[in-house]
Amino acid sequence: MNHLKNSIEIRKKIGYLPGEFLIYPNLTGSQILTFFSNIKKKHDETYVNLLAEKLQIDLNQQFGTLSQGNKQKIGIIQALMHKPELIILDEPTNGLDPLVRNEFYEIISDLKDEKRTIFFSSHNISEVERLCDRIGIIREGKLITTEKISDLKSKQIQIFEIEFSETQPQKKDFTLPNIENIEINNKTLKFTVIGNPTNIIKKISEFEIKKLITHEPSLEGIFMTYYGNEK
Amino acid sequence: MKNLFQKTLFDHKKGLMFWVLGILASDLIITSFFPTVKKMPELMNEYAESFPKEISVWFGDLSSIGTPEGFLNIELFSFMFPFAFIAYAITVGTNIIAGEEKSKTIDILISNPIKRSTLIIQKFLAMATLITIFCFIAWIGFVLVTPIMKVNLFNLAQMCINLALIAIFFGSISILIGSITGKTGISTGLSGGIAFITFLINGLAKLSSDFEPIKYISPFFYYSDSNALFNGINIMHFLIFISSIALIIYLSIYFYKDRDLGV
Repeated sequence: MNHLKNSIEIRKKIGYLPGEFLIYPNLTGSQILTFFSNIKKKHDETYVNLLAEKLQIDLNQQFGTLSQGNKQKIGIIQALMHKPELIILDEPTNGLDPLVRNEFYEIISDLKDEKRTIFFSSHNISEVERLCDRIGIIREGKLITTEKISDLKSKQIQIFEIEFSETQPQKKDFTLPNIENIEINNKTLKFTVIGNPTNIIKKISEFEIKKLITHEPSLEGIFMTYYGNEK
Repeated sequence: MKNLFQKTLFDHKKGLMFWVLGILASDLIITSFFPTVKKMPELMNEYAESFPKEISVWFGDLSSIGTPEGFLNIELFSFMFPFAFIAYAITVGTNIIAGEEKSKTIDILISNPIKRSTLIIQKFLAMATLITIFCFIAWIGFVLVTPIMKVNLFNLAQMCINLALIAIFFGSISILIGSITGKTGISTGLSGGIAFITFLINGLAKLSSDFEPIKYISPFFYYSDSNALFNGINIMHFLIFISSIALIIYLSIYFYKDRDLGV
């Protein structure tokens, strides 16, 4: 569809929540949603009530009297009420308490299961990890990469934590091309390995060690390893 | 609320109520003086003659103050009512376009399937409806005071239509300026400034031949020239008002539809 000629048709298929949901303070939640459902020409009261119930919001209160989190809930219902094909949500969980946030994740998961496309922006990487299939990373207004979450997670990144028996570890001994984020605390050494760790194992074998722990980083850890220093 | 038209009416219902109460109070208070004025024709003639004749240019023919129509013209329709109604129209016109941008509610509104032309038209129609209600109630106020002041209610209705037209004209100007700039301050200030300057032009044109040719650019000329309270509405002036308003709204849509809104 041509975005200029078919702008109205396209907007009927989109549900949008801006970063800052500002709407008429003199109207109640119910009046706001009725108004928008009339503009969208699609009114599913059962679905609106279901969303309101899940998000625990009283639709009879005036918008201007609501807390930030409750205003956000009205914004979320407004974006989803017509079951759009494309949903664009800018920081949707801002101001939501943890319980309601979980309900929101369930709503989004249900919409995903219905094969709707969701663009979701967030600074909370754990919620991105939980909800998204693909991510795009934006830095200083520029899209620096797009990747599938599964691809990003399958990158060979491991965090090593080593406790040495007697020798105080030296940073220079572990300054290798595939090692990053070296931290030394007394006899404990912590670093991130990118790629094959064979050379690291060989290096470690030169020392007498007390304890060795390795684990995979969170999505946030992977993100910081790959893009944390990128300009 | 089915659409923007109904929502705009809903938003302004409280404000309209206060304006209406003010206008009804003016109707009652001002007309209550008329019996006193009528009883003292000689004193009033003396009083009228004590003013410079130029005053009549701005406030109506002072010599007619002893007649109901002349009294209403001087006290209400020459200055007070037009500016009260224009002030109301500019407030509403600014609020519905530039105000929506200032409060940033326009962001979510235009992300929904609504054409910008529809937005302007529905909001304009709501403003015109509010002003029409306002004028109708002002007329009702005069119907209520007919026991005090016998006035031709049909001519008075035509005067109120003229009043609605000039108010809608300036309300539309504020819609146009709001559509171009998105700024409430500019919309209110510039529309009010244009109203004041064109009022001066219309008065100065009666005093000086230098201003005579430009009187036609003043909406106040079309509002006052036919003296609707005495003679009824001038159909040509009525049509000029209607076509000017239509042109202003067309221009508002033209400038608004592709503008990068401040959201």
